[in-house]
Amino acid sequence: MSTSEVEPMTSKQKSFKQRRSFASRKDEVASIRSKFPNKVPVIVERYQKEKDLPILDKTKFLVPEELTLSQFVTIIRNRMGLTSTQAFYLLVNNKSMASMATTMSDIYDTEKDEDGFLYMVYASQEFFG
Amino acid sequence: MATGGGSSTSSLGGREGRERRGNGLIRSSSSPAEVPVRQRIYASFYRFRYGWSFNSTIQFSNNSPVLVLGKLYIPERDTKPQSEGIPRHILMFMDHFYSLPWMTYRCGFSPILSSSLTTDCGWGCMVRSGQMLLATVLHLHFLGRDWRLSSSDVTGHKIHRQILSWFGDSESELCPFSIHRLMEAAYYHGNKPGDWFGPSQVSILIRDCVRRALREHINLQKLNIYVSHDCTVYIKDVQDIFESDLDQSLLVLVPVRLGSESLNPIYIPCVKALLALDHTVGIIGGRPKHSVFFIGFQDENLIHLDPHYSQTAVNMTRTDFDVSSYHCRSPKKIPVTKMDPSCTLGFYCHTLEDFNHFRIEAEKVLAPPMQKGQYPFFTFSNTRQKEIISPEISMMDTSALSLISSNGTLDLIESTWSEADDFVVLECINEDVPG
Repeated sequence: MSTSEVEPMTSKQKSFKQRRSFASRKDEVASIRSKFPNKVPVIVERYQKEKDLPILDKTKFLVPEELTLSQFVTIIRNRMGLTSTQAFYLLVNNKSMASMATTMSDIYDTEKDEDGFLYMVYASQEFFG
Repeated sequence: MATGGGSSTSSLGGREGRERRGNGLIRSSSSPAEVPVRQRIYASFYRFRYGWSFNSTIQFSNNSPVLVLGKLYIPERDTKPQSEGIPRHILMFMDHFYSLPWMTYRCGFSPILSSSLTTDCGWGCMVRSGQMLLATVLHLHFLGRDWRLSSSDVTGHKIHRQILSWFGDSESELCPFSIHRLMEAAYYHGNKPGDWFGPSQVSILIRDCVRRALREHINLQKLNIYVSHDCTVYIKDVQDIFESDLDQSLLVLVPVRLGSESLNPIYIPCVKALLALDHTVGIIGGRPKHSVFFIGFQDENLIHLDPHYSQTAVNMTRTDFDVSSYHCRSPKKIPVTKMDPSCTLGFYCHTLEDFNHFRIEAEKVLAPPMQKGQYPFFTFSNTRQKEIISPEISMMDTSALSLISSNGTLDLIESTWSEADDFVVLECINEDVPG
């Protein structure tokens, strides 16, 4: 708790997993799941080498289970103010999230981390010269 | 074994000869003194750089099949090698490969837009890969799958020359797919000549240029284009394109990202299966930072055309311009595992019916095998893109919730985490009634 206040700069660059211990993440999930049993806890972070897309102002989301991936993508795209032609890809465990009709709870069930969070990474495409 | 070795060495000599002829052509229209020194140095550097890798022996196995744009070349057991110990299926593959349009870095063309750039050396490779895909589609559309440069069909050669001229490095309206025109399109998306591009951006530029060409009545013989969105091909959007005119053909471009740092190996079987589809017209992609145009594979290697070779721009206003610098005799290959995860796949559908057939065939191979969840390469959706209704969602931070709520449990959540670590709670306001 106090350590994160000491190094705010570095903690910003670190990923959520790096910032928090496994035990505290696990406790957090257990606690939030008991308060919001119909929502899944999702961490959305920018791919570390991404330069084109902006950083989301928030990383932790509680998402209704029945929300589809396409709806979730729309929410994130809107929150970042992207145009329709801007490339935006969500990856989970390095896999392409292309099945837009899948519900968030389905993705959560198969891909959640041991700590109970679902980790999503967003990126545009690489550039070539 | 080293079948490609001989042909690759011999092609190097042929290439230098063509280069000289190319220079001769451009000199007739513009003096080399007009080309800034820095760009000439760049051009030489890239020629040297690519020339160097050009020399390296590319080996193709005599015993394995080769696949190029949906066409399979299988070793024949009982026939004798045709020439220099090169088996027949490799020779046929080479004939096919040499017929494909090859777009490379060019130098000595008129400045692009308001920039002073007269070459795309060092930045245009992704744009060139995109041009290669479009030229390949136009080839298919106008000439069919089996046309070869070695054929003696005069009309075919005339059409071939016409297609190449559309890609001439000029801002002229006779060159609707030139790097100049593509950069003009890029300008409207906030880019400028000299920028590096991604496969998805180039797909949009190609789409814009094809649409503009159609508006300007360039006779593309009813070729239309569709670029997918969020890894999804929206069937009704495709049907809408055919609605205006049933007698059309369609280029479908699908930009994807198949991993963050590197290609997720679960997609390797899909990459190969998609390149084996009848409808495939190649993949605009590359290895990291280095774009190439993938056209097929042998064993675990992808075969590609590499734009990283600097050539002098060809003056295409002459009807008898030399086409040889637009063809490559040296196929290159990289292991599939080295493929960059960012790419755009292209598919050509002759009719709406053919598109439906493409969908059926593609859906058989889009899902990576042996996976717990559903992580297809891309998907088809039966709707229109705009019909994906963004649910009315309220977003609330847990801190805000605790402020408006007297519920003690939320206060408890609040006290457990620091302010910056609050959740954004998504709440559906107008929930659709299921069923």
